[in-house]
Amino acid sequence: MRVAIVNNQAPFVRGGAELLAEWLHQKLEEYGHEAEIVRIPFQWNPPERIIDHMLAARLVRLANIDRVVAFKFPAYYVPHEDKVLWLLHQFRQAYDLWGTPFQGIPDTSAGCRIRNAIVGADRRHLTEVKRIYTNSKIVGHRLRLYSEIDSEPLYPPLLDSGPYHCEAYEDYFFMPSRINALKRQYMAVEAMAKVSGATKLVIAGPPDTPGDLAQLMDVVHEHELESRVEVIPRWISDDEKLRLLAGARGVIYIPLGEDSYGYVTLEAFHARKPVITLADSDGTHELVRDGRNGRIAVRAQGLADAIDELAGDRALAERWGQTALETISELDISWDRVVRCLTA
Amino acid sequence: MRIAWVTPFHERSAIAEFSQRVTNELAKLAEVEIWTADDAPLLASELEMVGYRRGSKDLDALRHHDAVVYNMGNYLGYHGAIHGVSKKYPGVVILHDRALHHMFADMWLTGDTADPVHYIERMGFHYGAAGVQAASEYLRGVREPVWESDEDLLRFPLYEESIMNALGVVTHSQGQARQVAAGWCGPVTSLKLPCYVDVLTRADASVRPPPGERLRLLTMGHINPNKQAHRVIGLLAADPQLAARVEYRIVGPSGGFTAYSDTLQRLVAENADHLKVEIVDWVPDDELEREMAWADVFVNLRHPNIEGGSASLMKQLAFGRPVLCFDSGSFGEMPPGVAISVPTGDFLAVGVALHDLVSDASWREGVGRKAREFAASCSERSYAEGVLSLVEQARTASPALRVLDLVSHELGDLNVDGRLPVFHDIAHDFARILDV
Amino acid sequence: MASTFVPFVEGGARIIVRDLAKAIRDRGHEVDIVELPFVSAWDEMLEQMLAIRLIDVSSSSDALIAIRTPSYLLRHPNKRLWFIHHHRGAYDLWGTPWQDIPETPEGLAVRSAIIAADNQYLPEAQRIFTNSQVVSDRLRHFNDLDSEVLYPPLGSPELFSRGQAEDYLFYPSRILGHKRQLLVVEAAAQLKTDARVVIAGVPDDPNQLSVLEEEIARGGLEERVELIPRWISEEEKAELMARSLGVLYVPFLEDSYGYVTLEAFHAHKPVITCSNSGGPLEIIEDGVNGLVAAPDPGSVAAAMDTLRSDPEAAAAMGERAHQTLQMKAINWDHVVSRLLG
Repeated sequence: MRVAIVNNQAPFVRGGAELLAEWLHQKLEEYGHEAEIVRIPFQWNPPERIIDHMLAARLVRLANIDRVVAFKFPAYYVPHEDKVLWLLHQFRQAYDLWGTPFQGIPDTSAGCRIRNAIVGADRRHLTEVKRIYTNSKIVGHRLRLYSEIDSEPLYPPLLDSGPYHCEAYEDYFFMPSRINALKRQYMAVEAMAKVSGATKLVIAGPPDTPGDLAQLMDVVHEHELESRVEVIPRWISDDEKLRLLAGARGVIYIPLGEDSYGYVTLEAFHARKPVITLADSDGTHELVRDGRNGRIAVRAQGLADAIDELAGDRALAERWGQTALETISELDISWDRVVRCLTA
Repeated sequence: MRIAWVTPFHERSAIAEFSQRVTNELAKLAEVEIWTADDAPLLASELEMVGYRRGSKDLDALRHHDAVVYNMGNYLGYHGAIHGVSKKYPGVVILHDRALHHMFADMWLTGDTADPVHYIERMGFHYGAAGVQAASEYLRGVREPVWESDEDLLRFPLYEESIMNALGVVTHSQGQARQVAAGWCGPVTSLKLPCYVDVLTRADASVRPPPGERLRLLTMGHINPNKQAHRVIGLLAADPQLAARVEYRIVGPSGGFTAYSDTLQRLVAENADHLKVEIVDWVPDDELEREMAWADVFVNLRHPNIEGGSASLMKQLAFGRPVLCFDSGSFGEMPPGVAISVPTGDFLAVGVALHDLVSDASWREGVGRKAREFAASCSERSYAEGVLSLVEQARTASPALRVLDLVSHELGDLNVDGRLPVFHDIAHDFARILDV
Repeated sequence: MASTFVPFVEGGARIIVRDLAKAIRDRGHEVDIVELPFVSAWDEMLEQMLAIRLIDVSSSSDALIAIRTPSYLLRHPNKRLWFIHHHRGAYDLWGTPWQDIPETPEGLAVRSAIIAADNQYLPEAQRIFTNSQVVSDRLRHFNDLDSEVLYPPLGSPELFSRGQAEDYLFYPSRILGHKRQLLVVEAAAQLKTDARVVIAGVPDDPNQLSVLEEEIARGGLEERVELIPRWISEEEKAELMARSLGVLYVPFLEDSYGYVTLEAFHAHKPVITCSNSGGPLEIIEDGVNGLVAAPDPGSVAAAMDTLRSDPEAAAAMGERAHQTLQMKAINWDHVVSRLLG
């Protein structure tokens, strides 16, 4: 069938959703469908613009399309009789971020009208789609809580999991991710100060700002961990990442309050590595099962304990790593499933 | 041009007769198909006739026409179905009545689909807080129904509900056209109700009894307080000199107004010895025409004037007798000298006019001649041409109106409050490229 | 950069968009492409135009280049247009069989709105460029607007290079009525030299393909005319072009000179076109870098014979064809510096 993958567009931004759209495009074509990526610009500043873009989406007309797969607000308002959502986001500022410092829309009467429009529009239009999948249970829970609409999780696979492999469980932990406050690399470093053994930590990823890197290095120096913590402050190539994963004892991924499990977790599991995460990382818990394929540590001290636990027991890491791999097939995180669900 | 003409076509509907006459003429200018939801007995027509039921998918055939014309009146039995279709297949609406309140009240407050909340909501939508109040008070039983008060009908006519997604509107008075245009942005026109050709013929052929000593005054139609017959009697009772020189007949049914009818009877009885007034109930058409032929003057005072155009007025004019009326609504829109119109509600002026009429036969005849000429000029043909012209304007306006409706609908579905700036921004952009 | 597109339809504008984006990135700028889906049905036009006016891309970029209509409706303080063509059904194709808006009151109202929008919003641009003189002339004639012609270069010119000429003329183009491959086949029947013709292209119009095949059979032209009715790769095309005597490009009244003409010039080959081919005449000069024949089989045959009978003259025209690229500044350096200047 001819599928339009409909996503927002914030010019010059290329994030997870853009990647997912490209991967889905490639996979749909591999499975014999025809696909086009349709990107609809979205601007949310000033907040009145949000309404403009909601309406613009409703006035878009699509020719030659059998099925629309839409990812986000407000692109998912595009009219089409055969529309399926693979929901990555509603507009969180109107929902779980409303009433927090991140609500984005002002508390004025105009702001409240805008928020009411978003809430009302979602309730009205999301019930008219054929089926809703979400990329995580958290997004699904929010959809039920705020819009009273049901959905089913459909986990995004890696584009190509083939190259991920395990060679050994050496004496280091790997932490790949952009370096910023939300990814909390500093907490892992602090944990390393409490770890009893000689195990190492390798942090790799581009810092969002020079300040982010400076802050992290301060923590390293403060605890004199220069010899135990290696920081690679840039994008690493796929080969580098595969190599570092293949030899790691485990992967540490402790972002604050993420919606979904993150590709880091999935990559680790494909490489048969257990993952250490935190209780407030939220999304990672959809993959990480405490004591079976990783550790959900409760506080910073728990983090250190978890590192010690795996550092001191190579066989444990191997067992958890095996379970981690099985978790992927247990949850059927595959393109087979994705394409089947989205084109059914 | 292919036109679908949606109308009552039942024998007993005055609008059906109107449609029969007008479509016969319109069919000489365009291809016309009559669509009706009525059951037999129907009027006859040589044109293609399509019977429909509301909600049937045969209605999609309407899309094959270049234009659809909807005849809207105040009676649910004939017009409820028409209104339903007009919402789905936008077209030109002919407003046969100034107020459609009774029809919508019947639609929303009676039967299986009764929804009083909807009535309140619509009254609020069109008239704001005052509308909400009138509707809720009636429903709570602390206020008379809106449709039973002429004053209320003027404030809450509810015709607005029937033209919301129309592409053009035809009214039968300029006053109503102005009122519509003040609140609706598509093409609007006012056309003079036709005086049917056969009515003119019969009027011309009618036998006028020889003049008597008294001037013969006639008030006809549905006899209710709006026609002011009681005020005329009072006027005569207070003016013995005038009363001695006139004879007044009141002819017509007063269904639904028995109390008023009793009052009239009592008034007449009380004044029987010095007034020559007779009340006659409903009579069949041919006898009514004999009454009309008998009359020297038609007393046709309506107050307040809640009609659109008046078919009975046209008929009276056809008989070539002066019509004495108030100057509101379509009565006030006739060319000068065609009727005797006095300031609305001014019964002193009515008295003065009656005196003049009694004493000046040549003036009476002059006005009567002009009345007949005017009636002849209001032909079915000129009406058909007027409708066609409005239909063409409506077709030109339709892409703009449709996109405005579409955008409004979408904004409604998006739950967007009317105070947000997007409305202004859109209007600004559209104004630069649309001719509406 | 902004443009409109129809899903699963690969039109010329999409190629220009990609080529321009690459050219701009190669020169050190950041480019993102806003490609809006669009349906050109007249009765869905107004709401789509409004959608484009509602979209805001102004705050994330320093400049906007809008290409296919009506992407120019996007608001931006620094807007440049590389205007490829109007919604032609409302303009130069109005009153022809390709008029795509009905001549009903409704259609006239929409046509009027399209023209009003162009008149109102095209002037918002800081600068207006077009891809041909034909389009610039239309902008002046219909919308009273000035514009500068900026010829679109090839995306990958390096593919096309000089080669040793053999005995055939080459016509690569989608097989469609208005590309007039039939005219070339009829001309082949009137050749006086032993010149051959190779016609290659996707048969977008299968009827037209049958017509060509019948004409070849009727004239016994199987040895003269080689028909390749399928998509050919860029490499195949470049190869066939390099070994040709010259290239044919004889469409009916096109807006622009066409990529075929450019490819031929890059390959140092003269181009035979017709006096009513439109756009190609902007850069093909009779006797200088190609030949302009009257649109009848005899004249086209004579032009082909000319090249066949004087290969040196043909080669000289081919060199001048290549120089035309330089003279008309048909290169990305020029395009990018004008668009962003």
